[in-house]
Amino acid sequence: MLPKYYEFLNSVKIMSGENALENLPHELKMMGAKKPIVLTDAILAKCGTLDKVQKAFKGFDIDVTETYTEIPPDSSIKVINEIAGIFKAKGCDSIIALGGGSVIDTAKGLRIVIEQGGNDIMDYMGLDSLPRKDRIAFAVIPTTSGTGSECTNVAVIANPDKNVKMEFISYDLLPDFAVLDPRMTETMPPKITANTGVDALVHAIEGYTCLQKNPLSQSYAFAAIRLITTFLPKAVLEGGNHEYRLAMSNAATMAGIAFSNSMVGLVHAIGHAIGGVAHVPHGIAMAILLPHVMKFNLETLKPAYAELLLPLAGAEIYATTPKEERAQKAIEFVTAFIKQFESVGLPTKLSDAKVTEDQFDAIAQTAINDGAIVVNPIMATKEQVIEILKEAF
Amino acid sequence: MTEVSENPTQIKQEAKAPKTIVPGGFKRSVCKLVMKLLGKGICYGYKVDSRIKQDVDAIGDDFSVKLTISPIGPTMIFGKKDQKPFSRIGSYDEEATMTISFKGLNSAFKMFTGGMGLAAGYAQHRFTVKGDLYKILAIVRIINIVEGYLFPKAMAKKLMNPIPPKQVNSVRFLCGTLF
Ligand SMILES: [Fe+2]
Repeated sequence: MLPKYYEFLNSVKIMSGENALENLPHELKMMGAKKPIVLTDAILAKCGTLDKVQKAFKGFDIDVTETYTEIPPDSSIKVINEIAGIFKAKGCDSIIALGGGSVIDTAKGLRIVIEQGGNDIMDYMGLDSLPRKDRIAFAVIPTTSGTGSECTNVAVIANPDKNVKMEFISYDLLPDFAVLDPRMTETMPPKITANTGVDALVHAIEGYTCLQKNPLSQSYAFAAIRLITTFLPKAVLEGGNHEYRLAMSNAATMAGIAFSNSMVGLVHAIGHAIGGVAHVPHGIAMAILLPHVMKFNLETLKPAYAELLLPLAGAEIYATTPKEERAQKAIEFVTAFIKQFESVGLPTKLSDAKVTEDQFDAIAQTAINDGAIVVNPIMATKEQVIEILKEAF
Repeated sequence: MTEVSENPTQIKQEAKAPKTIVPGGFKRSVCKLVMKLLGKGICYGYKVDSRIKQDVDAIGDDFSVKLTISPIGPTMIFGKKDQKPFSRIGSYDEEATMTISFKGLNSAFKMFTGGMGLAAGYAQHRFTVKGDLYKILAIVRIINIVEGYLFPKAMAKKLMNPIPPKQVNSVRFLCGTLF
């Protein structure tokens, strides 16, 4: 069934597999890039991941020595404006983002400021309202498999003065290249592998079910779920295995493409709020909330959840579950799937993630102002959000 | 926000423009009428519905929201100034704290006449937003509540899920809005 109208875009060239990094210099050369600024965080700079990237450029007429390695876990407008200054002062002409969601979102914000020709990212807030300007080459090398940010048109950037996260939605945020090289994710610790992987699962499930869903985004979501339920437990146990890592990188990217074109829903609306109010890492908030929000949406989304039992649990279980029980079974599967990662330290209750009951009101108030709440099939009220929080406590 | 502000004669120019060159004149007139009603409804709702007041106040003390249809309008501005809510018909090019701009007349017409809800409009990429997306949700709720009063229940049901409950009755609200 087709929606009355939909739009879909993924213009990112995906470079996936062993030695993927090696093909990046050629691509940047073809776009005329001579001096990219490389954005990353302190840990990746120290542990040698940045080195690997720089080495890949040896012999090319591309200078990758200009780096910014102090990107904080929550990308903020201040950092972006600061890097924009450096970018211009040092004569950079392109961007390489090496890292997780925060680094990539910072790079997206930087690209907007540079391309639009301003100095302050705050001038460009909005939805689909930026005029097309000359593009600067922008490559993303994700070091986690979760956010899918390498293929999304969304950036979430903190405004520390107001203690809120701001959302930017524009096709101009899509990078030119996403490099999925298993060497970039192989050192990720099990707990982070688990919670970023669950984030990708939420992207796929919400991308499949939210109001903006369409046949293309649903195809990506469906395939991503199959990969995640097959390979996430393996990648958590055996992080050095390149096959598992690459499967998860692909899954996260596909889930990213799905939700970039259909947006995320209530899990993310509440998850962003829990992140803002109680500083719970995004993936952990996702893991805690997903089963409870699925229960909340169950009545409206019964047919869709029933369909998802197939990629979630596999053909055998799907076929042997009576039609009317499949949606419920999908929720049970998701609950058990997430619970298995308790063994590597993933909290599955808000109380275990140090959220307190007196924060519920603030969390709910923030959640109902989050853009993601609009495309959830039921527009939740503040009271309903508080009920969900109580369930998840 | 990056739009260049036009001179004040802009409003007059729009009013004077000959109707024959305006594409979709009928639909634009209807949209303009509903926009006017919506604007007045927001101002009246601020007085009688605590949720509207709360959301308007949460957006800020001094702000303007521009609701417009590409490429020429009509345009309605509402907001708050000097502790009071206001609404008026404005011009397409004027600046506001926040701008919600419908990409085309037909979908705008649908949204203003009860054929499509804001959530569906968003899902279908029917409008663009300039400004703080965080505040858009308050605006969406305000419009939903006002439409819940102004539109018949069957229509409202198509527009939003769930329909926000009413704090005063629709007839009273409509009278308050109109007179
Ligand atoms: Fe996420």
